[in-house]
Amino acid sequence: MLLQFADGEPFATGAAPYLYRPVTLEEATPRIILDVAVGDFETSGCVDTGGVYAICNPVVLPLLGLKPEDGVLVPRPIHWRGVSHGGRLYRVPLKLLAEEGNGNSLTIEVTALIPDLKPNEEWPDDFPCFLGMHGCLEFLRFAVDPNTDTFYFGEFASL
Amino acid sequence: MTIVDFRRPPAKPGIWLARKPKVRIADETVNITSGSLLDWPDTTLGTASWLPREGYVQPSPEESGDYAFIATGTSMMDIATRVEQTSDRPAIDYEMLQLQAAARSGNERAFIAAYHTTDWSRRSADDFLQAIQWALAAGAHLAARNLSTRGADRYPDHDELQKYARVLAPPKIIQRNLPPRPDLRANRDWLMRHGDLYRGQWVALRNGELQGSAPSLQTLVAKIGDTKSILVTKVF
Repeated sequence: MLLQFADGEPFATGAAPYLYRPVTLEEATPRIILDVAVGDFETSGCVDTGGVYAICNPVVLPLLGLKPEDGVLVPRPIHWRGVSHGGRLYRVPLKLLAEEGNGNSLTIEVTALIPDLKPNEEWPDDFPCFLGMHGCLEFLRFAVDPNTDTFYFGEFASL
Repeated sequence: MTIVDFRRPPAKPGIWLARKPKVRIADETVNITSGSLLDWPDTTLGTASWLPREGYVQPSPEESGDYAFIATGTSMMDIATRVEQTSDRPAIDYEMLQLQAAARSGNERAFIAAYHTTDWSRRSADDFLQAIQWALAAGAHLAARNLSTRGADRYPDHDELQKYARVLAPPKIIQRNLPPRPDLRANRDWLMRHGDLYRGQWVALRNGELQGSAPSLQTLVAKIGDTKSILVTKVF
């Protein structure tokens, strides 16, 4: 059942089960991991409300049909999770996938940092996607039910 | 000699220190000559707030010249806001230098302070682009967004500023009421049941069934080809 305000207005328009696991081999602390789609690329997104922007694995760049000149160069490395990343900011569609029977999916256009990599170089911290607050989740309503591992989401800013 | 108020710069904005300026501070108890404002101690010149050091920039060689500054006042704030310039050399853009200094030191608060005191109404498109870059460098992401919006409004035909504004704009809903996915729970259940066997591996899942695994994302994507409707993730 989706969440509602007291007057019946929906708080959430979709909900999905999340995984609660670490996102690196070195860590033991679990994170909230959602299924999302960056463009048509369905992958996992770690909710990181202390972060800025979405941060996506560079492999999504060609899948989204983006070129470096579409992005805004980040002038200094972004220090994130103890690692510095240079790269560019892009505008990307991010779909939050709802579970069947739990409302509808929702696509938001967000700002995403995609690291610049040299040929044959892998993104060192290679979890697929992190969902930061500023530039990504900031205008969504969301709530978490740790009892059922359910992530509720809804629109706050209108189309 | 011209008195220049740092906080309200004249039409030709701002000045800053030359490579080896002569600075004399006259206070009730202090009289110092220094090679640079950066040499001024924070604590020995009274108790008033001193503008953050990050606000000051050692000029580049091309900015240097035979400047001499004499500042007098009863507080450091007063001293910092009034200097005398004894050179006819072109003024240096103090507003932009403050932004640059904040960016170099990664000082978001200093950047925001400089951002709010800058008169953006007479800034060029290139100034906006530069300031956005500095805002990102300083970690002032909201200021970067505001500058890009402001710059794009002011220069609607400037392609680069339009791109910056588009990329840094607030997130927005572009599609709603999209169909839900029937296999989310099946994929999640697979990861919960089998995840430990694939730790450190990339896996591709559809309807709760493994489609492939590989040590790297590139390898997995190359292996499975079309990724449409397949969950591709790394297992930890």
